[in-house]
Amino acid sequence: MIPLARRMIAREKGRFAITALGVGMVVALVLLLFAMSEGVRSEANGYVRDRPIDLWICQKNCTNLIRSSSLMYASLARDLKSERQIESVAPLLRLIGTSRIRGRRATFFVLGFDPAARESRPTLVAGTADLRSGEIVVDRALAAKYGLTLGDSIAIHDRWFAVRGLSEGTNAVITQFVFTSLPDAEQLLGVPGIISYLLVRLRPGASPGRVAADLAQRYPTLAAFTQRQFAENNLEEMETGLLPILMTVAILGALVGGVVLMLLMYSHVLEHQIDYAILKAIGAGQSVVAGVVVRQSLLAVLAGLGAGTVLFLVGAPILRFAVPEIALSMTWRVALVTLGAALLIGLVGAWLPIRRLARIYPAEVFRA
Amino acid sequence: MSAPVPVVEASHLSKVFRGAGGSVVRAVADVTLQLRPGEVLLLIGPSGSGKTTLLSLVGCLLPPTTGSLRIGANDVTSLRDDQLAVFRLRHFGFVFQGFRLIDALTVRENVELPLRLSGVRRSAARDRAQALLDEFGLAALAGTFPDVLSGGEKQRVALARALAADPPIVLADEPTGSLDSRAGESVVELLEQSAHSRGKAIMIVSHDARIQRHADAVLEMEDGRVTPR
Repeated sequence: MIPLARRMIAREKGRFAITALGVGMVVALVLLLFAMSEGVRSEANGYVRDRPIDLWICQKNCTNLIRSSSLMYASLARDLKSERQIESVAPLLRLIGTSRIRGRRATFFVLGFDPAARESRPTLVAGTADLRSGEIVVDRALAAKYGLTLGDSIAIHDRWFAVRGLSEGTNAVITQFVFTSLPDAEQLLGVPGIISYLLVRLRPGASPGRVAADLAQRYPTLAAFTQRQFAENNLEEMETGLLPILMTVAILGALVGGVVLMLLMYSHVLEHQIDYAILKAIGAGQSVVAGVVVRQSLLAVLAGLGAGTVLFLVGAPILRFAVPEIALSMTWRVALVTLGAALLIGLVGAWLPIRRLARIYPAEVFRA
Repeated sequence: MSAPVPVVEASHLSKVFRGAGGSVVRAVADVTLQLRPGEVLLLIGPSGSGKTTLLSLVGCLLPPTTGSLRIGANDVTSLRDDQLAVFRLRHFGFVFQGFRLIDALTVRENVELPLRLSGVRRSAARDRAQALLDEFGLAALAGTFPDVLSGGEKQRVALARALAADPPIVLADEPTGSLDSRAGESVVELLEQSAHSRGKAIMIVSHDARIQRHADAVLEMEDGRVTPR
């Protein structure tokens, strides 16, 4: 077929540019939201997912690290350590900490851990996790948000701590993690002898699933999860909390993009009604004229994909600078979902104009 | 020698339009006509007499309310819209008063259009279009866009497009209506030439009395009815 779609676009460069820019902004928004969604998956779950352990032990009915409460006696660590199949047990105490940093209120999770136990040490991007009393490791997004660097000090619950390390995989977007030694966390909590989680490494050959089931049976007040299950629980918790909001905004954005494209394509069809009537009069069927509109719509979407990608690549670093706790992660899944969303926008955008085309009669060529 | 078999046979064609308020307009009433290969049939009549509606019926652009229409060996009154589109492509070329070229396409692409819609390969369509443009003295304008052409040039491009797929029938609605007398004469001569040297069946709707001398038959239309002249 003659490249009528491209020729029509070439004669209406202004309209096409506006259409592509509109689609591009939607594509950038969709990219951003899906990249955030992926960022949440990897960043918020990073600490749990990357621990070199086999089991997470917590209070019964607790299922995850982010939105679940768990309080256990610290002596439980010794009891479990004596189990035949368990090689090591690392305690973790979680509490909510508040602070005023550079005049702004900050709220975060404080995780007290044993600096000597590598199972519970956070992954660092700078500094050290060999903490002594009065020292902390801060999530890097929290540090960026408040301008904290190694050596700075902040007050948590009226006690001063020096920042000795920056961690990654510890940003849950709505809050971030700060790590202290276990005794410091106990002191902040104000109740000694309490822990929240036990990170367990099994002896070689032991089955995590079987040991978890066995422990849950013999310790009725506890819940035991394999590392994989606990990571999935964490992810599910994030997905049921934040991700639906991101998805809803992304879908609404895509729909708005589709409607914008639809309006522009619809006005194009109205303005070129006679051209389409000519095509029909000389023998083009509905599928041929619909193809012209679909091609224009998809070309606008392709241009919009390009524009949106550029907007995203330019905008993402600016956004991360302005809002450090936003975690962005570009993956193949993000690219594919965005491509799918863009194609959906193109098809939605062509739907109403195609319906209008069906009501253009070839005899309209005789209209004055 | 016997007369050629008609390519168009309309029998008792009528077209009634119903308005929103229940008003009824009988635009074409009980028209019977024939059109043969190599013949130029001129349909004249005042504005609103139903000429263009009759042309639309004959060209399968509108379905008749009653009556039958045979094009060649085919009864087209029962065909669906998409079948009619294919039928128009194979059997008709159209020339309109307002030229009706597609401004986004070059002159050559406009002429190529029916060929490409028919499935003719790009290079063959291009060659055929170029040959027609050469024949109509438009070769130098092949790569230009219609909006820079004069009225006469546009109408010759429209005629080239109408003939491009070699249809047996050409329908022309007021082909001289937007042209000066000289350009109009040139276009009508080309139509007449198409009938007499290419064997096309030509039906022209016009107010222009000067066309009558180019016609083999003239029908007059008034209030939706035709009478021979």
